[in-house]
Amino acid sequence: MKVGVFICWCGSNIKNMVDVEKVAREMENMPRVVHTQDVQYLCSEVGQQDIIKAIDKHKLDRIVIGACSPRMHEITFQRLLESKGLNPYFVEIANIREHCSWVHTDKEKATIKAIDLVRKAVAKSYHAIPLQSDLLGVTKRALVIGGGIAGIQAAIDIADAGYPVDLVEKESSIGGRMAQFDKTFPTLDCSACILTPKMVEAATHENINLYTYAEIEDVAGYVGNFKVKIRQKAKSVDPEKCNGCGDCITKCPKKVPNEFDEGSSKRKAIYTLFPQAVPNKPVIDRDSCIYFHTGKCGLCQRICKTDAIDYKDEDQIIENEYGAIIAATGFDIKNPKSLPEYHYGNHPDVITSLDLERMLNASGPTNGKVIRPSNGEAPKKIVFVQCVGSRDRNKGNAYCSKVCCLYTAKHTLLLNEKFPGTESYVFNIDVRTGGKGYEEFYERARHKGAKYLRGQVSKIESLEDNENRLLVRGFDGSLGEQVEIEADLVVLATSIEPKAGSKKIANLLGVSTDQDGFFSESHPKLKPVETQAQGIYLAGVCQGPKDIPEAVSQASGASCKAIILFNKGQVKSVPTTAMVNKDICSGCMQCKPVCPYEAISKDYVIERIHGKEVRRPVASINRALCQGCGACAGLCRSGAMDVGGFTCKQIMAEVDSL
Amino acid sequence: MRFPTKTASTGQTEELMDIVQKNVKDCYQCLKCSAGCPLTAHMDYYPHQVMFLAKMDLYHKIIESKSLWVCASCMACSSRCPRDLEPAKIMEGFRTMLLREREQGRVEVTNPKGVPRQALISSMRKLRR
Amino acid sequence: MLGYYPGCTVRAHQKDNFEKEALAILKTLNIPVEELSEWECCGAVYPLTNDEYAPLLSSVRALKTTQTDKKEGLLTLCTACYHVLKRVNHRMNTDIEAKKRVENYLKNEYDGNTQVLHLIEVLRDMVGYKELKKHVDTPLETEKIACYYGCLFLRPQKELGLLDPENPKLMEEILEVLGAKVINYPYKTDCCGAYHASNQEVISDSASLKIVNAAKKAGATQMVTACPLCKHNLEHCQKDLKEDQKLPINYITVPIAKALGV
Repeated sequence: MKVGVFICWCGSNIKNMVDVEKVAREMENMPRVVHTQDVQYLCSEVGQQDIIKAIDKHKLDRIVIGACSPRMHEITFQRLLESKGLNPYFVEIANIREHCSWVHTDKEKATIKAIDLVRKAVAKSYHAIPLQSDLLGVTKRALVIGGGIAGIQAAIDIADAGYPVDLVEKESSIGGRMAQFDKTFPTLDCSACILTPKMVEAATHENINLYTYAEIEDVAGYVGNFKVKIRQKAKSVDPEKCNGCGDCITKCPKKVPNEFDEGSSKRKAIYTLFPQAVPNKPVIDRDSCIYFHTGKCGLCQRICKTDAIDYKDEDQIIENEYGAIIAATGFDIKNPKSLPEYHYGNHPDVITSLDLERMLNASGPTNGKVIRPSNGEAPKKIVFVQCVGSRDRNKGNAYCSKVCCLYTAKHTLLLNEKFPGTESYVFNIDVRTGGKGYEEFYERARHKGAKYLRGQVSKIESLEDNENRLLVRGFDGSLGEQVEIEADLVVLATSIEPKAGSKKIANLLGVSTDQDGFFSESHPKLKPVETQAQGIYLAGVCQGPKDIPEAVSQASGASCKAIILFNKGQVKSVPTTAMVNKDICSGCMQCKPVCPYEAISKDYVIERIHGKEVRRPVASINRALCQGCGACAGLCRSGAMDVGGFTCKQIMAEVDSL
Repeated sequence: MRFPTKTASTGQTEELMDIVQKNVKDCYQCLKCSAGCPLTAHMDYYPHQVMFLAKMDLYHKIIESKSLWVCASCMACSSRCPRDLEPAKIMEGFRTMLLREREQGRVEVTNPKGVPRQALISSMRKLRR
Repeated sequence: MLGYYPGCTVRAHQKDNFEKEALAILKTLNIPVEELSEWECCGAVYPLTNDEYAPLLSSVRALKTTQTDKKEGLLTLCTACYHVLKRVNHRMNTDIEAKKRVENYLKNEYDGNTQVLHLIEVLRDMVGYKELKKHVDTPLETEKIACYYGCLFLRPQKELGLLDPENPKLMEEILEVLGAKVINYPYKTDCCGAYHASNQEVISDSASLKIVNAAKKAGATQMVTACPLCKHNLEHCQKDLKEDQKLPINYITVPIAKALGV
């Protein structure tokens, strides 16, 4: 065995706190070390060439590196060894940057620590064993959870690449939030007009299967081989027979608050979500339907000319296998009731921006007219309050919701255009216009007369005058004085939050969520669409607040990752998994319950003992599920269980060397 | 005023921190405190300006200001601040720093007889007069 | 049996009949109340500084006396006292350092379990609206009453918790049970100017006048409050008006006593 030790200066990152030459010299004293070297930048081509030359010259078969965190360049060095015909797991990295030079200020002591760290790595490398990846097959079928613009885009991209996609949507139609909007910034495109072509494409594409009014019930398996159970909720309407005439909806006697209009209008118990719904077939909301509560009514079934109503319809569980899953579950808005100073819920004329958007939408509750909910008249003075529940550590969410500054500018523009004569006042802390064309859009809003006041609103109260107006008490930072506005209508730009129920999906998928409930990406800068779980990708607001162009870009990015997986057809498993020595294993299976990934199962081996054939149980690892945590190895009483890359011998050698 | 300029000594910033235990540097000038304060008409520096001066370590302006002696600690600002910084508490912190040194109080009692004793007691406690 | 804590100002202003009416009301509603054996002024304001402990002492003594007097809770009429006592109680329960120092000084332990109650809280929780309605003698039909809460009664919500800090409704609910018409108006949660009555009158006068004018504009014939200082300020700011233009300011007990025929 011949060990080569390479200590990196990392420019001045390591060199200015650790005496790298000394560390390299000290390693010469260790047994089996035949070459030591300190290099300015090991990750550079020059540094890599130095290692290659040393391997050739001294016939090295173990490499020890003292440098930055393995998270940075472990793959670089592993590839180098592979190119020289050595097993990639024969390289051992001692982190003398993040763990040493970057966190200490005493050069002498830091150098001693660096020597200890590298010595430990050398001792570990003596016992390194070669490890092989397995090649896992990949089912070339994708699952997209969520039928909003991000989910639709991801599904279309994967389908266009030639792979089958299942798109699962909780509501009875795809479309998501974009279907609720009237116009989108900064182009002021009609939202439904740019969305519906994509919706139709998703519904008619030969490679896309649409499951609407369906939810994810269970997810098991691993990358390339996910086994998913989808619960297709009972629609009570046979989509083959229904022709979408809408008679049942007209005749239904039961009315409930319409969630598509955020509760400001009513829908029937049998309903389609909105006029351009895809699929445009109604479903029965069994929680509200009179028939399902009392057994009476049944009007819709009697009226239906094609006999499409089926009260006996039941939930179905559909099981499928997928190679990749994309989560695109979207968002909800925060209810401003938790911020009582804004008077939401106490006066009908205090509404949220989404309520206003629904009013502006021509197929909304007011047919496109903006009215004061209290008396139905047109408002003259409208006050917009920004940052309601966002950027708020006290009673709200700490983050900025990103889209509100722009959509409020859009609202002022639309009001000026459709209802000239209205005055719009916008109370803001900052105006954030980071996207392409956004600053020009804000400029346009100002030119058309929107009055931006730099300052926040402290309290909104009922004025108790004859017209039932609202008293908005805020501050104007430019003039430096308190201002009071007697407003007809107040619009609150509320914070956006991950959709309710997305935590459940995250748990099923094994993806972590951050403190605000957004799904965690693998790396916030360089891997924004992947997650810690291989094979599961993210798209849209479920990963963090963003606008429509970003959601669409991210969806295409996520589908690209899925397509890469499918094109390869195989995925390499991570080889640093648990390993069982079946000769020593007693089959006690104490390891099985401690595995958090359910990767251990019971298997049998057949041996000849004393001339007889004996069948005895042993533990068996599913290398695809195993993440190499080591819980089983720590528990194993007979020492049969070990973890590749971190074997008991290696760890003991590290400890002994210190 | 030319920046950077700092008039608060480290001792003063530490003393303020001991009394209030809030990180004033977190204020992002949303102006919500001044928006809801009922007594701004009588102040020279509004609550958000006092927070700004505290953030920039310009204590000398706060110490000379009238505002500290106008604040009635009604907590309207504190209950609405999105950073939970409690401007009323900061004001009390500065007042306390002044009152703990002799003869730094700025108000005189003009009407000791015609008011409920509650007013005299609270005035005494808050303003040492 | 509740322990009654008068507070310095309520006890001193006997002419206003706040205390007398309140005790009579509670007697009519069969809530047994007895004055605490020993009490001092609570301090009138809650110290916002984190490093002072002396201002907490007299309040803790009152809270402790409630327990040694074997009373179920401490009842107070003045919102300022309510604010101070409840916040001190909360501090004793959450700030270990404060608890240690206060206990050390008083040479007495306090476990933080005393309940601090206000008169209207007692009417809502211990009497209940149904029971209250039964005792109504003369419903208050002609009165249009505006309720003023002021600042100390409402904030900070996390520690006081009795009322919605931006839209309080408790006084209105009680008066509606008694048959009165309640008037809503802006500025009802704004401070009246408090202790500036004694040193910079112009501040408290202007703050209170804004509130009174808003109530008058909304059509009120009477305003009720539960704090002696608020009452003084709201009356004082109107001193230059003619008699028929003044809005009468009463304690909350006045309409309640009238309705119950006490």
